Amino acid sequence: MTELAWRYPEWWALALSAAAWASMLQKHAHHRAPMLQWIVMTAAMMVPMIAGSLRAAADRSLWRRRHRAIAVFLIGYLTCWLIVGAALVLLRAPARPGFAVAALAIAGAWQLTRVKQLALAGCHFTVPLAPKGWRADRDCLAYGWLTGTRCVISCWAIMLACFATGHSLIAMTGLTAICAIERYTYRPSQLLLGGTLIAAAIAVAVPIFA
Amino acid sequence: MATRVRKDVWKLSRIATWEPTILWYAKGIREMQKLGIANPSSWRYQAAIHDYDADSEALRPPNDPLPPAAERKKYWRQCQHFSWYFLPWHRWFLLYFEQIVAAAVVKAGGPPGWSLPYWNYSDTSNPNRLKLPPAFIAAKLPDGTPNPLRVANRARGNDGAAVGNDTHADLGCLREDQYTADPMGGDPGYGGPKTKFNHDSGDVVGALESVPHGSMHNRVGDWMSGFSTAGLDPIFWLHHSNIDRLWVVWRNRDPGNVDPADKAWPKMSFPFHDGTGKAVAPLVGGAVDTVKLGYEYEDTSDPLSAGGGLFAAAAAGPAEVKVAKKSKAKPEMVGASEQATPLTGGPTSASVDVSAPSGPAALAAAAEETTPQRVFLNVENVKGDGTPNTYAVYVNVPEGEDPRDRSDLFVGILPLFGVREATRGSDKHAGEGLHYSFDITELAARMKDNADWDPENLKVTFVPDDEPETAGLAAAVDVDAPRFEVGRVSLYVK
Repeated sequence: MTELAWRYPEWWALALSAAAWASMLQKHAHHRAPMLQWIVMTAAMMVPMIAGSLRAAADRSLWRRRHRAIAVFLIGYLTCWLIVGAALVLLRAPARPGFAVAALAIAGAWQLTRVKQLALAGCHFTVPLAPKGWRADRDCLAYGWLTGTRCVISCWAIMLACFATGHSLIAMTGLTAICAIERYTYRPSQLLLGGTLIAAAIAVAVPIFA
Repeated sequence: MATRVRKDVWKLSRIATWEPTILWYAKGIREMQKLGIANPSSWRYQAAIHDYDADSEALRPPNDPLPPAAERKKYWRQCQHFSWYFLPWHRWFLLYFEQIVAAAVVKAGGPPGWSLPYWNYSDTSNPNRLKLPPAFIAAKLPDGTPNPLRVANRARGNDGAAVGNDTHADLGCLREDQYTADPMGGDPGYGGPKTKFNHDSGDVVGALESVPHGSMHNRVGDWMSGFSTAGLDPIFWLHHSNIDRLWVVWRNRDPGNVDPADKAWPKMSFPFHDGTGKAVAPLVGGAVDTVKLGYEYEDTSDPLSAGGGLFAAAAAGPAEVKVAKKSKAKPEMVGASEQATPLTGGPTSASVDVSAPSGPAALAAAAEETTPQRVFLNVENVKGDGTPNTYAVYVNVPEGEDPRDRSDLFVGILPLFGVREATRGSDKHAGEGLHYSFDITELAARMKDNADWDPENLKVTFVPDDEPETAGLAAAVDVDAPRFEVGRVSLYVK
């Protein structure tokens, strides 16, 4: 166990993600404040996608700072998504089926753009981290923030679709699977992934307009 | 089918500059150069399999149409670097290239069964080892026609001088006893880190891929220093033939030196065209035995056991201790530089504050007090663009002394081959640059004995291999403005 915890210092962040998934399963989860719901959803879906970056932040830090490095990285990273969530709440983006159809279709189209591909390729990387003091925290924060910005550019439309479905568990599970495939398999067919999202948009649209 | 023998090009050259294997290589290349770039057996297509970008596009003759985009996507820009696929990918690449040249030789009226020679720049019994063989710099073939083995686009060697020194051709990498790199900060492995398909995405560079592979690429320089142009220089193929040979040498020198046991490694496959132009997709697992592939090397003896006067071998001393190398321990970072270090036309230094280990390395030290721990100097996120120079790395050189006079404080060579490619972000990677990891266990032990070692601070100095005034290199290195940069220097123990 100790060896595993050494090798995968990001274990507790993944445990937090699992806890977030568990809380989404709760009966009254959808009664939560929209902002809270958004953050829980982001933690559930996105933390597993950045496990490698969290490990890199820890492994490139002094041993005593490794968990602090992960925590500070997460603050920088989640701040990016918090801003997106705040914008959605402030703009009173509706969690309605019609909006979900549009968001899924946009996500499908976004999948095929070069900007999306560049951001996806750019969302795992390493940066030099200062070893000690405030500079170490600053660098971990910047590393998390930079990773977060690329992650938002890559996945904003997918997360918008999750929001628009009212954080539906089916949508979250399916869209997490798409994120995991494009993050962890080699050169997946973006045509297939984009097509799947557009098919999902049609599947949601048919009962509304039929 | 009889097993072909790939021979030492310098031994062939001693028989005659235009010994038949060498002469037919030249004539085979000439045949291949007659074909358009869209033909898989053409010279340019072969170079494009390694890489193809704006640099190589600029060299394309007019009226030479490219193959279709789908074909380019599948077969071009495939070279595997900073990856445990570096060795097997290049082995397949060379094998099919050799078949294609052999077919071209027959077409040109030569004998069947041509074999690719190798350039052994580390052969200390050969005083000319670091020079290009004479056929590669001659202006003309014996019949007076232009010599395709000579290309003008070399930074060094065309004048008949050595392209580098023995540090660039050092075989200290053979001491590695694990193929695959450790997790971050530890042993770079002989064959590099576990990756997926990896063309130019930054990672730690395996020991063999770093020196002599990367260093010799950059010492010949110009075309040889870029992924997309290297294959256009005929010496590239002999250089890689030697790297391929060194994989065999490494496996032979110790029964413990084995290829990755990880199941993912042998299952990977890469697309090529064979000597008949047929599309093939060989598996990595099929590359491990050269005899099964129909060839072997003239000499696969262990250069380190022969008592050769190699730089690192000499520096390491006769008592080569295998210090807990098989340890699966987690490397622990004990110090790092606060900021980036520019690599310029003169020496530059980084300062590393070192703390005592407090994690796995501390526990391991407490548990096995007799086993010396391994110490790794990491040079991380090396980025830059333009013509790369190679740098020599030293530690704790006293103020006012010339590092070049302190070979006892020499760590190794920073080759920078591939840094340009790993710096350019693309739709495949973010451009984080390259990482190098040097095992300085023995150096650290020696320094402790000589009281040269400050346990709390390490000074790391990077010295460019060429003086700014070196002829022909002025444009590359005579500016003090940094063209390359080391993101961070760090120290790990395990």
